[in-house]
Amino acid sequence: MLNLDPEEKVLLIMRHHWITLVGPTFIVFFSLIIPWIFASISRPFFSFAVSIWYLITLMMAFGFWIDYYLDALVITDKRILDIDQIGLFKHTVSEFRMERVQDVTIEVPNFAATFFHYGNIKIQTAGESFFSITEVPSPHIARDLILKHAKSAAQT
Amino acid sequence: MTIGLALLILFLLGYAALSSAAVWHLNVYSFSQKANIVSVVFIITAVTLGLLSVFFYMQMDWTSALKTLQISEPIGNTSI
Repeated sequence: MLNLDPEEKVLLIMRHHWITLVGPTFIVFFSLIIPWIFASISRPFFSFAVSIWYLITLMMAFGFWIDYYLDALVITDKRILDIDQIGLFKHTVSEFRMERVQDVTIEVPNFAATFFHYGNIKIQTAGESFFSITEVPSPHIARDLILKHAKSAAQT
Repeated sequence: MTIGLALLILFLLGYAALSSAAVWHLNVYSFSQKANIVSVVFIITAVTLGLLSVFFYMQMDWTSALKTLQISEPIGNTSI
């Protein structure tokens, strides 16, 4: 649900790099494995307990995925939308016009970021407010796109 | 068994409410078809696990299960 203008086009949607899901994946994986340590308990009770435990694990995994999927930077030819999803239900959307972009900074913080080609983007506007998104793939693509359209938006 | 079943149904109803809210939130704010697919998979898996939990609950002999959890008294006192 982006509420775009009729002639507005989405140029790029950036989400976090898949590497941000590695930690939550391990947590979910170990949550699935842990019950089998107690497999020697009587069968019906064990099966019942595992089904309840897996329901809780499923909700946890779904929450991790919602947090990943709804956290995005949307670049259109007119605006930039910074969408932040925190937890299961907290959702904020900030937007600013392309012509207000003053500065775009990308940061590759460590060796893993260099190896897996991800980094952080910080965008500063004319009003000295800034938006940022961390751990996105190929941040230089977004930077080039934003600067190109910011320049053409400022000229029109 | 009746109280246990009531607690289980209460838990499943609460889970269904939370899941419905999460799925609705996802579909309000999503902007691709992937969210619909993930929502459907989540709902099917949750319903399956919920039904399995009820099924396994009904299979259990709670009387003997609770008896095995009781601590048995010592057999005799031995003094030296």
